[in-house]
Amino acid sequence: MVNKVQKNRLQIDGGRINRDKPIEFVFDGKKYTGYEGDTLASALLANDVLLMGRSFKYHRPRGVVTANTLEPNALVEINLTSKNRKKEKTPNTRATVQQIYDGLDANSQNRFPSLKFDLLAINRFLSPLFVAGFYYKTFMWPGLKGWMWYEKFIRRAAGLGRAGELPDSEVYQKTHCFCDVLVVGSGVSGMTAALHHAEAGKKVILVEEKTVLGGRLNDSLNAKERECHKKLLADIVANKKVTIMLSTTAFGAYDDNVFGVLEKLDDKGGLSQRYYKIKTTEVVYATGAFERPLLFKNNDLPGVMLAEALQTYVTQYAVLPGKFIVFYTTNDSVYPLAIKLATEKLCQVRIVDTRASNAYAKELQGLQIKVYQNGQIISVSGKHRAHMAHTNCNGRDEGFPCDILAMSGGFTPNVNLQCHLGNKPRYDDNIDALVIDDKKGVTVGSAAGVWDLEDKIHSAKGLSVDDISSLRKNSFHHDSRESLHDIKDKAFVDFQHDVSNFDIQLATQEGYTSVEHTKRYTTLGMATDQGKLANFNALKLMSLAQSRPIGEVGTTTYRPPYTPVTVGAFVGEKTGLKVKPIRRIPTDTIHQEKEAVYTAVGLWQRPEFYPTFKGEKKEDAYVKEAVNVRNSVGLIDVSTLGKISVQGPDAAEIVNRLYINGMKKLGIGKIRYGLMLREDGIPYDDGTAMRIGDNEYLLTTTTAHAADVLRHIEHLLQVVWTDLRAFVNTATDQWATIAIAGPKSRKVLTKLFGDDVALDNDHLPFMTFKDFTHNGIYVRLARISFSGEIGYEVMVGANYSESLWNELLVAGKEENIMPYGTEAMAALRIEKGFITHSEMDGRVTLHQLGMTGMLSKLKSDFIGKYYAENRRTDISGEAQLIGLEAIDKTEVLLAGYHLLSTDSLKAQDSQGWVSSSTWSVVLGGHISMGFLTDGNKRFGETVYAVSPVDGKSVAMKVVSTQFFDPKGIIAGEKA
Amino acid sequence: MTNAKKIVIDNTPISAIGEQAMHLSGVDVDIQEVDLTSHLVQLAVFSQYRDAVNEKVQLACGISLPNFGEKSENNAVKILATQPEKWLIISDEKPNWLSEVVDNEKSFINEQSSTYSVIEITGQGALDLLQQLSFIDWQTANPVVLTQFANDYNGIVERLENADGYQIYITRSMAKSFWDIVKVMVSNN
Repeated sequence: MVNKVQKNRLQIDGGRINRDKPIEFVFDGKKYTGYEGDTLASALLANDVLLMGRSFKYHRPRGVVTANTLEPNALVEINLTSKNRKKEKTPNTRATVQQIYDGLDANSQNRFPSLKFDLLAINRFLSPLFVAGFYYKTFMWPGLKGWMWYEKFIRRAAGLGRAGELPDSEVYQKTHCFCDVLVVGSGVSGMTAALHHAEAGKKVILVEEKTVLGGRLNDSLNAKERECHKKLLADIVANKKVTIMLSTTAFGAYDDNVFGVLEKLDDKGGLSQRYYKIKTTEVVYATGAFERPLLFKNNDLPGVMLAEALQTYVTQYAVLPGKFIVFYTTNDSVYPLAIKLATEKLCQVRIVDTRASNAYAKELQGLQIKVYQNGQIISVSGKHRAHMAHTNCNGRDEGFPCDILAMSGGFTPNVNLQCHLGNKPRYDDNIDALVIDDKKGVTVGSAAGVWDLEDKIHSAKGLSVDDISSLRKNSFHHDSRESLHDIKDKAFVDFQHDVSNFDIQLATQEGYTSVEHTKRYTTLGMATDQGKLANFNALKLMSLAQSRPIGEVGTTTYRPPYTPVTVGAFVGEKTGLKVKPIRRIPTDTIHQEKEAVYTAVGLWQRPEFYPTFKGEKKEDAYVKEAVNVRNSVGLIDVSTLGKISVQGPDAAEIVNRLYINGMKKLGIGKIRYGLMLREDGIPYDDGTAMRIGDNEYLLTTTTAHAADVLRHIEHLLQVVWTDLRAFVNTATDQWATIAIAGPKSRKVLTKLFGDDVALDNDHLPFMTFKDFTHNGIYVRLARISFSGEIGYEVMVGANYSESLWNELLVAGKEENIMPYGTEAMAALRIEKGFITHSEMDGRVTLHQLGMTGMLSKLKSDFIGKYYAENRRTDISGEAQLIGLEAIDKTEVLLAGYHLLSTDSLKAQDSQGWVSSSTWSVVLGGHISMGFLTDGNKRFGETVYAVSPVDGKSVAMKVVSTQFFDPKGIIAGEKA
Repeated sequence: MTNAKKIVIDNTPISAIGEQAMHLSGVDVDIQEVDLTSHLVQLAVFSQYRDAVNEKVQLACGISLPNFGEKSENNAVKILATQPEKWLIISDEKPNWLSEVVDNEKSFINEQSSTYSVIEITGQGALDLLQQLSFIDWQTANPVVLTQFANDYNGIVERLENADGYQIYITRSMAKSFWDIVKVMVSNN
């Protein structure tokens, strides 16, 4: 049944709510009614629901303290079932900023079984035990094992809301904006600053975290301020140079004047949140100030809230959640609201004022308001909400009814965002607050500690930082005596984390005098509000406990985000397969249709194998493909290999310096295998160089290092070899490369290109290429092999690759041509003993790879020459590249297995590792490449490839890496 | 040997994207792949020879090499200055005239007709879409920008003069993936 009586809704004008549009919502399973424009907090208060949450540690009953994003207590879970998103929920949502909508379903959190009856509230009675450092002191016994045992129980009890069980289906968007001036905050200072800069012709973005412009002006009870508000609104809306962004929070300030800004949308169009990166030339911080809570016993009971929050609920939402209102204040700011409530006879009003006098004596005359000067609230009592307040005034105790206690302990300028860029706040005893001396950006209005209306306006019109500082005055006649914090009873400083004045005193007693240590020891300021309400009171308490001025206590470091930001907003559309770019090979569609199984190679998606029937295993499919290459002919798209064009009068010199072997004298039309080193002489990448012309080479690289090698060459040209002239360009995307390999490969290619080019061994010998035109298409045909078979690579513009692939299949039909995937390709190359980055892993030297024979003795220089030549040549005792043959041919092993000298899974010194492994179609058993200590001297020896993880030990014979055609007779058609 | 049917590679270029143009009325954006049959050639000229090569270019095709970040075009040819010493020459006909310009000593060409897929985005929402894709102020940016987009795609963006939109030259292997991202971005608007 819906509760339609909004007991605490006033029959006065409520700024934001639309009484013509009632809205039904659910809280903890019970239906309520609010109005369009209500927040969940205002609607619940209207329905006389003050208990909205439980604290983190002691599970104390809690209600709203604020009416804004700082709210530490009223955190709820929003269930999204009403939007057909079962089991999806958003935890830790602040009821004070969550707008209600039809069907909103919210739950309180951190309680069991219900908010009113929470079994874990027993922690309250154990609170003398749960002091600061309790976990550190208690759960250390008996050592690490003890902690591991306790941890699971602690973790279960810890945390606030519960995350949803389904992936977040909210829609987030990321975008970028640019402006001349970014103004953060739209109170009187923010709007004034925005207009000031816009009138100077600047492009201004004004961000406001609330749904309306105006900041505290919206709540103002002052006629002059209301008039000012009206005028500023009219001017700013009319100004085309100002872009207004509402419901938008600037949560982070970053280098180079970049700001992280989050816009919350109504979700009606499908989009939930939009994350902007805003780059600005100037920034104006008009971020306002926070009102500070006061310390007294039970200062956390529902019904105890900030006075400015009560003012917001009354003026903006027409909600007065009590009949006995007590203001507790150190300054004049609460008096206008108290006077309004009393004048309109809305409730019984008392004011407990810590000072001897106030500035409203005249206005108070004739009103039913009792003012207790020199007063202090000692405690508030009640079970689930406040019922009584107890005061001491001039030494006399008195108790009176109190269902709302509205407190004001002065104001703290909101300088969090400014501090993200390295500004540090300092204590200004004139206004008893932390202020900032801006180095980057300008802070104006109450964020600068300027409280008077005229001064705020003045500060926002381009004044210097010094001029703004001179406007700081104790306008509210705030009482800053430290004794107000020196109380006997326990009072809460950080509401959400249940950090009390006693905890801070204890931390000091135990030697944690640094503010950063106190923060971590007590968890002060580590809740969702990041201590915005708590920190100043904590600093005062530390100052008292340590008997040193507050300015010496210092402050913690403020970091982004200013308010909690949903991770989804940072992620944006980068989810699932969209996390990073996917690179597709030019013939991708064909392999998709053939239902190839893909594997990721860097960003590339490549066919790993082609099942010939559904469910065929990889080990069966790839062996079939490899056998077909050895016996007949196969084809594979190898377009992923990096292709780099080097053009210029110094191209030959550059290419020569890149590789360890000679490249300068490579003839035009010829190809040479080459190996590159890093500067430290460690093998970096390998590939081929094709000499296209006197001044042009085309280099190929491994798929994995294509971009790195291009960057490496660009770096060398721009920084190291500035005297050499050449252009380098990636050609990887331009050219599709289809490799065709096997004894029948020439026969197949002749059917396709026989009219265009001679393919016999005399005209197109091994490691040469020919360029020609076929049906108007430019073709480069290279005689090259990565399998040990007669092989070719056909290069065409990628736009024609699908047709090339299909025609090769037609041409090879009689020869039983078959595509083969990366797994078969690996099998063929391992049989041939060709290395890849599995062997060239950045940890082994040329000597260990057994490739020193490639080092040119004639070249004066190449990258890595010094270290390659001066590294220790005696590699005795080091791992050396060897081949391995499984003695039992049925045994299977994987890359990564350790090589051991004894057949045991027990821990022992590793003698090396398996780098690549496959089933050899030539030898009919598993073969591997790997690195074995002194491997080159151990041919014929039996070693064991062991994986304790797989529980396997496989006996392997140490052999040469050249399993197939060691002299290269087949590929080169040598006599 | 005589084949019953001659085996020959079809010279019709095939799209890497393989999807039709889209119009999203909600955000007023049209997205389509264009220039599939155009010829794209990169011309690289060492800076000290630029003036000399420019004269030849003007003679051969009627327009000059634009400054970095700019473009020039006539009815037959469009030239985008993509990098300080590099230009992308785009034309419907094969630019055989480049053989009169380049000498493989001071200037070089690189065939790039298959390097890029060209995605055109037009409509009032085009600017917003581009602003989502990259951290560049497109309202003040040069007509030709080589950039990395937010999701780590590299591309060249050309502002269209007479239409409310842009052409994005995205590397072919990433084009389909990029297209999918753009679709998500547009549908989220």
